[in-house]
Amino acid sequence: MSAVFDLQSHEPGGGVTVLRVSGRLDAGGVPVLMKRARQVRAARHDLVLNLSGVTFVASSGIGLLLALAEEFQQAGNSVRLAELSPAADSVIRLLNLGEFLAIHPDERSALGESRAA
Amino acid sequence: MKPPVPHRPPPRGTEPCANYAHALESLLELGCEMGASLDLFQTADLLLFNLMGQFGVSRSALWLLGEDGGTAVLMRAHGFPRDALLRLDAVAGEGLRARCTATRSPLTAALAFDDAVGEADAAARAAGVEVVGPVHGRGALLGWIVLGPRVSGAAWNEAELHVVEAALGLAGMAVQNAQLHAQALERNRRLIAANEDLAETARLKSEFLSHVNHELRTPLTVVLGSLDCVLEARPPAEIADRMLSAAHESAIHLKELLERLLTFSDSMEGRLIARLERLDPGRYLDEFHAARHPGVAARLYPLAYAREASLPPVSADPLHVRWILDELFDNALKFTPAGTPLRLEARAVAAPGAVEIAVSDLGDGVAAERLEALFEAFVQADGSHTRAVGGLGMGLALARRLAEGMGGSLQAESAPGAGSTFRLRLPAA
Repeated sequence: MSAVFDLQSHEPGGGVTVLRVSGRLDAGGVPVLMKRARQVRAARHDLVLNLSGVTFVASSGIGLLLALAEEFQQAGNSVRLAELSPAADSVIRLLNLGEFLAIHPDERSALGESRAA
Repeated sequence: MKPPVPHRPPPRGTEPCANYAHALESLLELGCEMGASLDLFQTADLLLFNLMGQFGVSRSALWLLGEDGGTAVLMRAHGFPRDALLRLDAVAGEGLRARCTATRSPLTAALAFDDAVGEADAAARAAGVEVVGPVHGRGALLGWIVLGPRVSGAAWNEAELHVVEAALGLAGMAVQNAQLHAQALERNRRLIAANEDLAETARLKSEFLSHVNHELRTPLTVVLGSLDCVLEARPPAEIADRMLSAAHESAIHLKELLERLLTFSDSMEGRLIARLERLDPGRYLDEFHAARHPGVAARLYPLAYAREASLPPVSADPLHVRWILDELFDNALKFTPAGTPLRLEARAVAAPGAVEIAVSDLGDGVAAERLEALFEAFVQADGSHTRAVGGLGMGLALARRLAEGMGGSLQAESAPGAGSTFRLRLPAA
């Protein structure tokens, strides 16, 4: 598991884009993820964020996830988080954000919910 | 001295943060992030996202005041619906600013707005604003943030607002650093541009000196060559007379060239002196046309001459007028091919009282955006063209200065493919 931030994009069809995030979601990764996620929003796709490779989530990373969830919802789309790594899971639980952020155990169920919506 | 800005007392005895350890960790992260970023927009994003993540907020925005401290600019906003944000930006700006000027501490929306700014209050509530906080740097208000609703629905307590204040203190330093960095980059860019301008001027001056050298040598060679020939070969009287005439003509040309150079130098130093006298422009132009026409015709340029029968007297220096007209004709001959029709015209202009003398050609013309460059010292329409046709590159610059030195003006009109017209205006006496 690399500590360097990395983003892999995947479009399985059905108006959904999957971004597989790995490394540290902090000052280095936040601007990269923000830019790519806003391209997805502009394309009017739903977004699935696979966080299985995330090694650290800073407050700014959580802030970005909240902003994306709000903005996608306003645009009539959704953001779903899948396969949370222990680092991502612990901070989201600590801040009690589980009800606001749609969290799925795996990509498949997140994709299923996105397509069903 | 400014009155001290009210400061929030430490939150002793108040309800604690839900998770002090997390708040401290978030502040440490923010300190590192703010120290690492010199980009103003990235700084804004990291500040807002940090606070959103720390307090579970889904909307935020940052306004910063411009360099003059006057205009507030919405730098970044996240999560707000577009319409609500536009309305907030439009109507709540002054209300937010007034509140943030009066305090160093973040305020909840309930305290930040009141009935006196009802419209701003409504806009902030509609946008979901829950907290307003000033961003200060070295005692000055730099801007402010707003934070929207917490996704948990929890109310803000004093201790949490104190953490927001600490975060905004860090952000104030980072914003100021980013602004200073941006200003330093901009100043550096301007200095580089000024340096390039100076280097270009030095290059043009050097080129000018080289042209002066060439222009002075040509008549001097004729003078010396003719005199050498007469003194050494002792030709018959008839040939000697012709050679002495050529030497005399070149010496006069040389003298005039030197006078123009000295006048140009004077004009560059702001020491141009015009010997103004009452001049009859009709008679003057008739004589100029009679003197200049043969030389123009000999180079196969047709020259049409037309003037109003009655022109009012003007106040002008006859020598300077001749230099200007000579320059305009020399310019037309240099930059248009032989056979191009030229025109010399004059008319009275009523308001303000003046006489306008126009020299036109039907040559290639000059693009509008390059017209004014023709009047810059050492610069002609195109540097390579300058070398191709010779000349000093000071002619039109000097001509305009001479015209202005007489209280007149020299303007150019041109379009590619439609020729050029230079209009000299001389004030009525």
